[in-house]
Amino acid sequence: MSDTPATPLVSDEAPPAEEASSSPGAEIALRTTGLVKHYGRLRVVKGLDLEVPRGKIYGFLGRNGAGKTTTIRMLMGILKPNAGQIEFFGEPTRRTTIPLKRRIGYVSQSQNFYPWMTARQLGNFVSSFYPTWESKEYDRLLRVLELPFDRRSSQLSGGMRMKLALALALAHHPDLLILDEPTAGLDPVAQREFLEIVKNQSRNHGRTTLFSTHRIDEVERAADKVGIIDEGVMRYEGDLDDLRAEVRRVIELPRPERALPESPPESTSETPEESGAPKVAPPALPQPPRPDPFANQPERFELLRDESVPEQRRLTYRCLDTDPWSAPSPEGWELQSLSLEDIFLAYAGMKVAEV
Amino acid sequence: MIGALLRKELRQHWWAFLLVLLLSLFGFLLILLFTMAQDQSGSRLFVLQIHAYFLGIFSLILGNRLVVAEYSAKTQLFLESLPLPRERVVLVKYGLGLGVILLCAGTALGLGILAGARTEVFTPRFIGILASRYLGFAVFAYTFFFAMGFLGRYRFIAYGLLLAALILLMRIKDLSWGEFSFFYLVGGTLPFEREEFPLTELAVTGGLTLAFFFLALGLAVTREGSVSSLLGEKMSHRDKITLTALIFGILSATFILEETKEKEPYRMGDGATAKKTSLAEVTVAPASREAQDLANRLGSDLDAMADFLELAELPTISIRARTDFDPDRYEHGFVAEAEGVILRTNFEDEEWSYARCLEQLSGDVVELASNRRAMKEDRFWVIDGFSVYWPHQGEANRPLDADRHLLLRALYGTEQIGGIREPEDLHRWFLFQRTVGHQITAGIGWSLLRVLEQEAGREPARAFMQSVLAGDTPRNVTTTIRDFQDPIEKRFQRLTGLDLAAFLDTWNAELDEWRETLADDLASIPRLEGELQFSGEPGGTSLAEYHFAPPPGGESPFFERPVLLYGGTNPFQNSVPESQTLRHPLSADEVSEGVLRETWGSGSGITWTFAADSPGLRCRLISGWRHEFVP
Repeated sequence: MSDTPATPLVSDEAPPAEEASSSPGAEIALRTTGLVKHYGRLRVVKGLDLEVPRGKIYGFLGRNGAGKTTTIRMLMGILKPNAGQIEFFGEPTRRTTIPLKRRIGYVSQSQNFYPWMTARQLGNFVSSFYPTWESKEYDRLLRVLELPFDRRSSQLSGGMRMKLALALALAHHPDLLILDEPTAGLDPVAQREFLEIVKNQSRNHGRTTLFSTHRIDEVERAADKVGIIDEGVMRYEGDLDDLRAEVRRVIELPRPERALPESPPESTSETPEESGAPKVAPPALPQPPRPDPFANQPERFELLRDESVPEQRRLTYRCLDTDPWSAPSPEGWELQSLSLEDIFLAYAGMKVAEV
Repeated sequence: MIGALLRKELRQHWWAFLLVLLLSLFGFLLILLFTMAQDQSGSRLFVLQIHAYFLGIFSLILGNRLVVAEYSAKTQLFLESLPLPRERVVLVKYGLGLGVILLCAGTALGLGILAGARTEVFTPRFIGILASRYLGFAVFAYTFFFAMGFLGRYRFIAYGLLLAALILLMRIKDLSWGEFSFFYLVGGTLPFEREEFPLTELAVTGGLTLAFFFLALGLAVTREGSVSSLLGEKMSHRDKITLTALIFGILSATFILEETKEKEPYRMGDGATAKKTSLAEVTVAPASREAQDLANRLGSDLDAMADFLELAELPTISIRARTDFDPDRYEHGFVAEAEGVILRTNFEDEEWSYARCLEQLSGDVVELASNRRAMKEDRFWVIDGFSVYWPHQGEANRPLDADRHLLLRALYGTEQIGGIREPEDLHRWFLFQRTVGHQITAGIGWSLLRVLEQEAGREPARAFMQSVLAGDTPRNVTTTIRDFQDPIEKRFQRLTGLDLAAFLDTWNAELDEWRETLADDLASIPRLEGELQFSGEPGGTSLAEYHFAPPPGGESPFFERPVLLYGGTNPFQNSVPESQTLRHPLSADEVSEGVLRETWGSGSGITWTFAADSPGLRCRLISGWRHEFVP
């Protein structure tokens, strides 16, 4: 989509990308350690650890209300963390400073542009705050994204506003692109278009991208690395392939039913045959559940979800071995691979079935 | 960066800035032209005082536009996502709005000085004082509203609480609005103070301005994310109800429990003051021996009245001679900042009556001493009656015709108003007064009190009068609550031991007896009749034509010197004060017809009655006040 080389312009305040990449931890574009945010008694983010490798697309996956937007707002310096540390390009900081913000392109969940500003006016306004802003690049992005230059932002559709936000976020050649649920509210075509743009940006310019979403298919389509957040805690962080390899559903196999032991005949002189009554098979006894096969190995197996029903045990486990699930299945149990959606549900803990 | 922000603000709010500037300019010029058209001789700088109110309103508008609009549209989230320090955003907004307000204030100041250049001498010091006060107020007002804007939806609560706090402070500390430093700067002394810089007021206002500025800065920098969103939201229905209830509660509690401010007693400087007695302070002007005697006599009698009613204090009484008045004419004076009975009358006239003066004063004194509680309609008969009962009191059991003229007033009056049969009839006392005049109703009230004295005994009657006319009447709403709890009928029964309805039967029976005894005299009292009509084009100006036929026989002991009393009323009046009542003399012997010299516009109100002196009743007879609108 874009042929422009991703050469960030050097500003007097922002360190150049080359310098940043040579600093310790430069392979990591963004890292948070023990990030905490609470509003009064409500703890929204509870010690979040996150690591976004340079040049990769990071899918920040979580249910609504899991803490994604709060985390991103802390990263952008809009909210102040109560505890924890943020590290951009190897530089630790408690709060995102202005020079750091200039190296980040940010697309928020809802676009709060001034409704009276056109795309051109927005570009002019925003350009004043980024020394690395390139007007030609902005114009090119508007053309590529098929955005009208002189239409007020209030007259743009949701999808167009999101694209406009993306153009504003990219025109200063950011080292890191942070997108907060960018496809929420877009139609399926626009969603796909948007993700393609993001992927191309990453592929062609080596741009590090973090995008939050609650849609598994988007992560599967675009992300190199995924972080699953639930109730303010990072439940999993890693490559998607690793995740798929590590998580299995363990299902108890059916066992032959046991017959009831025959009861001694009552004190009567007649047998059933003799009395002419039909012969009835003795009722089956319920089988006692099999013990959890991995319960005694918490260092190797993490129980993600228990979906057992009275007739059958169904457990979702993540194997922490370097070569997961290489050993044969335990006797009486079957291992089942899961889709990423099932894995996400196991992490996010869908409660309806249990209710 | 600042340039971009400035351009953004100007582009976003240019029409608000322009509107404020134009309104300020035209508003100022309009007030100036209005005062010039009125040919007011005062300082032209008064216009600045009025313009200061505009500045307050403009500050509110700009504070809202620059701050509240940003938060309610949530566009501040867009700004916060940019590499832009929040404090810089706030400072740009503050500076820009302040610039506009100072431009408004500066222009007004300049124009004010130009307009006043003909009549005022402007020294550099005077201009300095004027500018520091005026601009100081402008900066304060703007900073206040700017800071309040950062409270978002809660700014209404803050406004309400601040207003309630100011009102409370004013009532508790007995302050007026002008005594708060920031209001003082643009208060009444603004156009006149040429020498003294109001340093304390400037310092306090400056301190408050700084405090509000840092509050704004603090709120802008510290509030974040969800707090901003919350403040940006509109107030919920529940918020509004809670806020209204809170403010209403505070103000109600203030007004119910806090007693109204007692005014200073009014004292005339040039009169003869009565000898210092226990309570009454009577001054009669102009000072003379006659005035001194009158003051002493009134002082002594009013002291006795205070004893009778157990009044702890009496209002000051000031009487000024008006030699152009008829001897029976009394006019009340009014002073806004002081309290006391101020009366103008022609006490130097030979026909002037001391008893009539005492009647007038008794009512006036009781009115003030009861904090005007005695003026309620359901108990007005007591104050009306007491004003003649007290000057004419004697033995309790002496017959009513010992004061024949008063008895005749009562008989004549009850006949004219159709009688008083039930306690509820006493609740229409003001109507009776308009029908027969308050001197006749005073006679009716007198007869009620005299019969009460006879039936219940002097002491219970006195206790009842004391309870209605004096008593403990705090200057707050608790008095009204007490009136509801203890209505006049209940109080009458408790203090006199009589049922009011039964008492009225007894009183009517006694009056009926006297009506037979005095039938001849009663028949001689004329019923005044006449007409007033308007002639002219409908919708245009009209003339008032009167027609008055004197009673047969011409002048009599009950009828002389007929007049037409009238006056124009505004839309909210149905009567006019005595001082504004016009008199048109009529003939006592023959039919009077003519046209009043005034012209009356269509729709204007007029109230009128035919009246005549009645020496036999020692009061004025009237045909009944009428109020109508010119077609």
